[in-house]
Amino acid sequence: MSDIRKVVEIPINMGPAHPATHGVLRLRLKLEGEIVREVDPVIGYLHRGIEKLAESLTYPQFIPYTDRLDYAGSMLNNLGYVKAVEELLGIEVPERAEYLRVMTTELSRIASHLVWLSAWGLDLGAMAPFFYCFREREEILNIFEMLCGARITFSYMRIGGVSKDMPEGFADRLQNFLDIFPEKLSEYETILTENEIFLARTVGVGILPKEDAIDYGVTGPIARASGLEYDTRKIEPYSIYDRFDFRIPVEHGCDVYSRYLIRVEEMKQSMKIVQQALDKIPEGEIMAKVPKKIKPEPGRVYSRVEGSKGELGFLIISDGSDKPYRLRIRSPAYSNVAALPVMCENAKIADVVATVGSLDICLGEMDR
Amino acid sequence: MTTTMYDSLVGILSQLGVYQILSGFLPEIVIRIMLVLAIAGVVATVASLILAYLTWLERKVLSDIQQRIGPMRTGPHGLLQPIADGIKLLVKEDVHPKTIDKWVFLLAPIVMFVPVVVVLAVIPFGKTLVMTDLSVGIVFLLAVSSLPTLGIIMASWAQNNKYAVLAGLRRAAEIISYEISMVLAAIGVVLLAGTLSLPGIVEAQTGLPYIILQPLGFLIFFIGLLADLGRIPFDFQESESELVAGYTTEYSGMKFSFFFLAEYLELFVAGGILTTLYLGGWNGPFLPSWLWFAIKTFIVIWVILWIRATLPRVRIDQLLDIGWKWLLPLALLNIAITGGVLAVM
Amino acid sequence: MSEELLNEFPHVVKSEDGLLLVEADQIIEVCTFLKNKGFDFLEAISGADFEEYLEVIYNIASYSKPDRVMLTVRISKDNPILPTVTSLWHGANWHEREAYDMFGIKFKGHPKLARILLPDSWDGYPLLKSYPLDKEQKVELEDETGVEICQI
Repeated sequence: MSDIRKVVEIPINMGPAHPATHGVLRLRLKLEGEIVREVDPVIGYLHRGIEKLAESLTYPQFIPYTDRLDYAGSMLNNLGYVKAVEELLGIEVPERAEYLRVMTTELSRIASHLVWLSAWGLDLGAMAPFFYCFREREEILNIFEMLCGARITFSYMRIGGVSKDMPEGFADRLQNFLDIFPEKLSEYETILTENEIFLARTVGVGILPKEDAIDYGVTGPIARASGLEYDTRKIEPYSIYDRFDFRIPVEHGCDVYSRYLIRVEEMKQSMKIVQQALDKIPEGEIMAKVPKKIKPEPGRVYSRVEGSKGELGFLIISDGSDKPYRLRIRSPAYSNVAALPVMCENAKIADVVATVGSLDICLGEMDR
Repeated sequence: MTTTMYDSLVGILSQLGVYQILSGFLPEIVIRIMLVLAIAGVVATVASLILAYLTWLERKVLSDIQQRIGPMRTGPHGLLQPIADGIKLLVKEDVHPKTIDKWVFLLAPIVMFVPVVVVLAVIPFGKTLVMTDLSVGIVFLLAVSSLPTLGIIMASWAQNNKYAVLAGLRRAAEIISYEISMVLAAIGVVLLAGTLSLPGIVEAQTGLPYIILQPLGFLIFFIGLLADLGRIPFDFQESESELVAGYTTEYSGMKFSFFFLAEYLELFVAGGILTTLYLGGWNGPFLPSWLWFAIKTFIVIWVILWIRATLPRVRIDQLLDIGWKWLLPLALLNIAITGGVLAVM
Repeated sequence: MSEELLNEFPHVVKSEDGLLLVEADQIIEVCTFLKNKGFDFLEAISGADFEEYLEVIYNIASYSKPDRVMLTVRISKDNPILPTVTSLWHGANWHEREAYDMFGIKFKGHPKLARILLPDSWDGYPLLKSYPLDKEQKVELEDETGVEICQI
């Protein structure tokens, strides 16, 4: 008979169908009781071959596909793609369109962070934030619906501008939202920020040191929670981000609690940007003069924007035809999840759940 | 000696003259058995009605806290929802994996459910509403109310599922770390009341409920009770975001509904235990005693639901820490203080 | 930055359409040089399929300044091998696995060169232009111990 006191490593499969893996991420864990000795992320369960599809679609036809990358913040993907094509074509976007783009992408960032906060709350066992966050996200989606008729998959941006101008009453509604949102945000903070149990579950959990964050090419709130002051909006301001007054929050805790603080602060900063854009938006055209048939010159471009999860990059190689020869999407979650084994060293099962949740993964974007 | 439900029923029947007629042609023992069964039947029916509506109450309280309206479609304000849920669970096909340990799998829900019902026998619901006044009532109560854990561990083992086994192991580790403190906290009550009988303890609280004399004991007991119920912030046995569905992962249909019902009945029993030991039981002015008991019990249940809607879950090792490093020493301190004060007075 | 790079490495050339072409066996040296110059952020490694050759494109940026570099390595289709840069950035691991998955590019010295987005039993490299779009695939799923549990 074998010695039952000997510690046995149990392999266990977390996902692809598991409540805490936010879609179809699969983690192969090796457990020693409650302690996780090895984490091996397995991805690809939502791979739809978007990069291959792009090669048989014209440039404008691909815009709806970008909605389906990170479906929690589609506007950001829209912007990332059209910005890359515009750089390839060398098009200047009209002022008003730029302001509309900034407003919608920042609202999209808030919506995405709200989805993250609610889902992460559930991961930690807190039910209440879920419904509170979705209440505010609902209003953002209503505003988007007013603007472009869609609530999740917007396809709002066009190569050279945006598809629709602000309708009547839009500014008032947006202003109304901006007025009530800070109060609601402090509601979430009351539930979570200083809650003893919440602190016990998050402080010092899922540590990603700065060196490892650099090593793995981690971006977005996770990098900023590890002390990296890196945000594409500041370091290489695209669109009209250099005109706004906002700051990039940086924390040095490297843990999941810092990531929470960063995202809450980012929501506040995004709100500030939207407010400034709403105040300053000029009258004018919303579309640049774009040829009917979009045929960029042969060449290649790598264009990046700050998505809600981190740096979202599009590498487009053009061969002079109306379809991209090769399109590569640098998805932020892809690099961030690669660093998961570092964060989960000798963690408990509950910590793995908290850490995976704190990454804010979106499988549509990771698996493409 | 307290008047039990049996005594009062016999009293009523004698007044009506029914008892005399029955004893004319039936031996006394047969009448006794009949009456006891009737009382048990009534209590079980009332309890199952209460627990059915506890599910409704939980959904309504949660949805109110979460800015929703909760079930509204079945009956006015969703009042028929528990019945619809019950029918749905009972007529559902019983699906289970091939690799289970069949007998243990089948027995586990029963092992979980029965002790919870048995506890009802000693809880004094009102001045004359107690099924039996055991002289060691509190010992019986604490012993039997920890038996459902056996059902949980059996269930988790029988399913042959790693998540379920983890849930069972968590439960086993959990119960030894809070149960001791809970029992030690209850000793404070026993010392004050000078009796182990539950009606006796309630009697002793006339005027002053023990929550005022034993605030520390109350806190320890309440935390232990939350862990015993397996509710947020201590719901490790289920913790759906970590262990899928914990010890019920492979259960469905009627077997699952037994676990489900047992959990809600436990919630009601927990409210009853806390009311009896610390909140003065059925004591109270003006209103009938059973109504006082019901009010206090539902306040306790509401607080438990409120906690569930508000707090995140702690980690299993953190509960073990709390249990051994805080609750146990504090419970011992509580006994020392109570004993010391009693000795001096 | 590109001038500095061109001066340091005579084998790095600028093609007529402005690409920085690096020899396959020099990629580690070039990347080490860049990393020491503050280009510490590996954004992406992407493959691309052209008629005569395969390309591996390295996008390298910095966490502290706005500069970016795009390196291109051209390798032959018959023998698509180049050294891995996982020794410089652990983050290269998944990007290189993806290039292998989609183009069949092999990275010498890679710690675990296996398919990442596609199932292990996949036949062929779908992002190659020569990949037939109507090709049928048999997909096998395995559990954590490697036992096959279902076929699609």
